Amino acid sequence: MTSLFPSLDPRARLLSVLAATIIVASTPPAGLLAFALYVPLALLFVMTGPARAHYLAWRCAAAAPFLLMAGGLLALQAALSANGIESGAPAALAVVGKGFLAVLMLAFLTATTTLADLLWALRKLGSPGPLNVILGMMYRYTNLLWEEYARMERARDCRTVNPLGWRSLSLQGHHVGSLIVRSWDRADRIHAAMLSRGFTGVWPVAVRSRFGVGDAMFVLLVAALFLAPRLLL
Amino acid sequence: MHIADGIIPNIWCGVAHAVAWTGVYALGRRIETEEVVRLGMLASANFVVSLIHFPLGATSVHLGLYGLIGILAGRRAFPVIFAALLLQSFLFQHGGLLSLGINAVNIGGGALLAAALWRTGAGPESLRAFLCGFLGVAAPALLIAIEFSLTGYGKGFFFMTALYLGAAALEGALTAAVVAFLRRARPEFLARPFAPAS
Repeated sequence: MTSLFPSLDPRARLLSVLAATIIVASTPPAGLLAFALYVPLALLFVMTGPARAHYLAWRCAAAAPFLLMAGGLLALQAALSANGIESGAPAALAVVGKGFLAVLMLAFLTATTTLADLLWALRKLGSPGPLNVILGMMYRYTNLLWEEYARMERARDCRTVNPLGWRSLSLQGHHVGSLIVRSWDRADRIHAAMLSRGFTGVWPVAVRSRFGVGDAMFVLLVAALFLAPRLLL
Repeated sequence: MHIADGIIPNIWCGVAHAVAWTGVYALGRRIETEEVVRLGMLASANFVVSLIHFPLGATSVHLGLYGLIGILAGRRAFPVIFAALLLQSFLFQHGGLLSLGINAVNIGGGALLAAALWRTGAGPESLRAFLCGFLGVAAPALLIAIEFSLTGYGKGFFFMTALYLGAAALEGALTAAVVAFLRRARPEFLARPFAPAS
């Protein structure tokens, strides 16, 4: 079963997560019972791919502070109003539940689909050309620039005897400036190389896989399964 | 600074997605190949900078430098920030696919404001750079507080915005330091948008 999700076309994977997220997020607080079914459905969904449980749990935990703060704000708002906290508790729980389920499914998507596949899916779904090139460049060069920045930082540390404290802010500014200058120069070299290979401003889209009937059925099935509690409860 | 999925009602997210995608199309139009490659590298550099954490008391803050992107990329800052947010939602689940539009409108809007302020050319350059960096954080924080207030969360997030002002001041100072460096090292970067040489 864990090989089902990765065997799908990347567009089907992206669309199924998007459909489930939209349906869960559109559930009104009054439909709190639906969340009792969303949780097992989401768990069933993540069992269709080889995502590690501790990775998914870690990603959900990372999102917890913001989600709990949003839920807390809602509960506080209700407590301060004439209706009391009882009226705000379902809304707060619903917001926290929606947030965690959305993070869980997005983390599952990225754990089972490579970034290259996701960017390919976006291109095939018609995202604008300049956006595709910017995303492609980020995918390709962020690691390189990170290593470059780390080298600059190591060199600074080797030359700095005492901690600089707040004076390091100006130095950091110079480092960021250097990084921008280096990335600009590198961009010009890359552009020349891309032109020599026939780049016309649009990222070529290779055929990796086809969106078949099975892919469409999977997206529809996921949407129907998540829609059922939303409509019935 | 990123709003997660499920927090803001779907209708708001839908409208914000429509605005954001329109912005990406409209502000990315008639872009030359050389410029788009530079923007890609600028987005990568910004992504790297956003991973650097500065100690702040018992905690730490990370930078976005959205104001700096506004200074360097002008109106093209919006597609750059949209791309960065999309990648952050994929890689770290910061924000989400549904709230991508609203995050792009908030943060991209701050960068566009910074770009507009930079273009005015008013006042000393270091002060303008500081204000651009400050605005790049403060404007999105204020927009989030307004959105939270309008969607039933009350005014609690305005207090969070007040906390963000410290981070905004830090961003402003760093942006001013970067601009001062670029003025000395490569002044042509600041003279025009992130566009190819004629």
